[in-house]
Amino acid sequence: MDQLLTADKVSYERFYRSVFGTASIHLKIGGCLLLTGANGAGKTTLIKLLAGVLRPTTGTVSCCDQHFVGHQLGLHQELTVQENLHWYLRLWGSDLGHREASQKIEAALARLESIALRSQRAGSLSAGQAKRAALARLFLVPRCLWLLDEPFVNLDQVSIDLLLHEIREHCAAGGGAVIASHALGLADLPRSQRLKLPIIRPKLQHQSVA
Amino acid sequence: MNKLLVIIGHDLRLAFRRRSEWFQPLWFLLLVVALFPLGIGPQPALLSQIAAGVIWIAALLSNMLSLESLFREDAQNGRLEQWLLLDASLPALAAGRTFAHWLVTGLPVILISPLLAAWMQLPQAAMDTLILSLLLGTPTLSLLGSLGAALTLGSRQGGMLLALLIAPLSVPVLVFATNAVSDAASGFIADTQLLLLGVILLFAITLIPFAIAAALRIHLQE
Amino acid sequence: MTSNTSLWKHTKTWFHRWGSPAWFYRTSGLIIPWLWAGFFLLAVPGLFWGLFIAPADYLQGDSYRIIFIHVPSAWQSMLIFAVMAGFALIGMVWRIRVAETLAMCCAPIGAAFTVVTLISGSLWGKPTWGTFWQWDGRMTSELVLLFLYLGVIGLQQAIEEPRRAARAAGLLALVGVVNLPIIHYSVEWWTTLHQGTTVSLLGESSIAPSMLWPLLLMVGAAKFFFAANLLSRTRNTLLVQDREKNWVRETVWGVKQ
Repeated sequence: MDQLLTADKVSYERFYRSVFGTASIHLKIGGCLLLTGANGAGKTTLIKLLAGVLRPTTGTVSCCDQHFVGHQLGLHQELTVQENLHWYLRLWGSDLGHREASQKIEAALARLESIALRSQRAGSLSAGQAKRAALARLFLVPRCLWLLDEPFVNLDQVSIDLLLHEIREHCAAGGGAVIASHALGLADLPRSQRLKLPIIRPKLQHQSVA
Repeated sequence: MNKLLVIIGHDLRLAFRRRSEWFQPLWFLLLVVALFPLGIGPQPALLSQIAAGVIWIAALLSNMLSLESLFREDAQNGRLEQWLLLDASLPALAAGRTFAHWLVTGLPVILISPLLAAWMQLPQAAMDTLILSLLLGTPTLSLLGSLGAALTLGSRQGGMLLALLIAPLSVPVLVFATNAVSDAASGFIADTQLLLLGVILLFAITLIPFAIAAALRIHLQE
Repeated sequence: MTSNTSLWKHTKTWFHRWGSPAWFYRTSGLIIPWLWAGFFLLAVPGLFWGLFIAPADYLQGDSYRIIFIHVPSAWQSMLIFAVMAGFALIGMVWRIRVAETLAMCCAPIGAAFTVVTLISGSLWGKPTWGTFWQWDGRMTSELVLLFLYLGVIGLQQAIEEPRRAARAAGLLALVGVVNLPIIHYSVEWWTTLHQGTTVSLLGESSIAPSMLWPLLLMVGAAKFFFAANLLSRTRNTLLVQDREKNWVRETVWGVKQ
């Protein structure tokens, strides 16, 4: 199977109104898709549909196992970064001992140079640090598809470069990624396609009757 | 099964860190029960007659109040989405979370029930039945409350609404439990009522986690 | 086998057709007048017979005549809850918006029938029991039913996104309908324990045919009344929901696109 992700005529309605019309997406192995569009065009909705968080109003989505990092980072404020990641590790069915789990978490954090965050409470992190901690999930368990909603927001330049590097490596190794972002050009990522979502303007409420 | 234990362990550890979570419902319960003698007078005969109802209604109220935030935090920080993406284990996760919550808030109620019984002049003979009825009845209330918490996640006024939705559904538990205790207090055997409470609990354990999972799914559909 | 599959196909297309708001709007518009006709055809003779022709009760005098309102609305209040849960289930399993909307439109009508039942019951209770309210099994169940209806309505109103609201409230209706028999049983059991010998509003004695026929007419009339109301309500709600869609422009504003 060389399709990582197939979305067929997907649409989503909120308040009885279509969010972005319909979209069809095919992502092959090694492919990277960049979702762009103005605020309110429906990037977040589309990426959540692809991740399976939202169920499409019409159309179907099928994809291989995926990591999803959204606007809500999925970190519990009162737990340390280590504890947060350990929770995911165990929920994802790993039965590693404490030592091995710690090593794994350390290795995952190291990819974005955030080992120093390990024993800090998630609630005390800055926005960029929290994002890095959440993105460490990508490296905790290998999965073929990464779905990232605005991953570069709040990151410093060093981290952006590190993350771009990781995305390139991931795609080169046979994975794929869908990234919703304003800040990125196609030049940053090889073999990437772009899908620009248009703004759907609400139709006029009343049309004058002729 | 494994994930169930992960959730329970995690929630217990978290509850252990924030003591207010399990202490406040208990405190509320003590306060409500204490208000009754203050409100209607301290005559032992009167108090012992309404003891079962007062203790149970207080337990019901404190249970509903403490459950309101059961899923709220995870819905806000995004962990609920990640729960959903774990295939097919949402009912187990919901059950695990509810059970952990019951261990933290329901079990202490049972432990202090002898004190409540003493305050309300409940006859010694009804003590076993009170504890047994709480043991069989409060898990059902927790499951119902947890369902209410999941249903009201997307609403503007959580706590009050939860009570309005869940209280009518709790009527059978309340009826059978208070009846068991007052029967035992007047020297009858209350096995039937306790059996019915047990049946309701089994029914609730098998069905409500799926309803909670469905409610959480509905919430996540923005 | 073949007939089976074709039957299944038939049902499926029928389902799909009713699931389309435009089709629902048009077809229900054709049905509603007939439902109202049915209602008047049953209610007018039923009321006349019940209030003027049927003999007075030898125990309760004329006050018993309130059963011609009380009993039909009591039956209806419980039936509507089941209907609501049925629509909610259909909406949830097949994700049909019309079914979700029908379920949500059931709730206020059911609540209204419940209120009518409670009020007529307590008005009847005054001459019969000597008090407006007694914790009698049926009345108590009806009161809990009212709270369940209010819960469904309240939950639907509290959630902003309308389809999410309808689904959550529908789920609550389903849980409620599973719970209702248990509630009813527990309340019955509770009243028999606490009171023993209440005069039940409807005695065990069999009802005289001269009273039974108008009662049945009124029960039938209540069904038609409910169906007509439900369809009208659902039509209006669908219009509001789809106010930006083409079929509404075409049917309401007469604009072809």
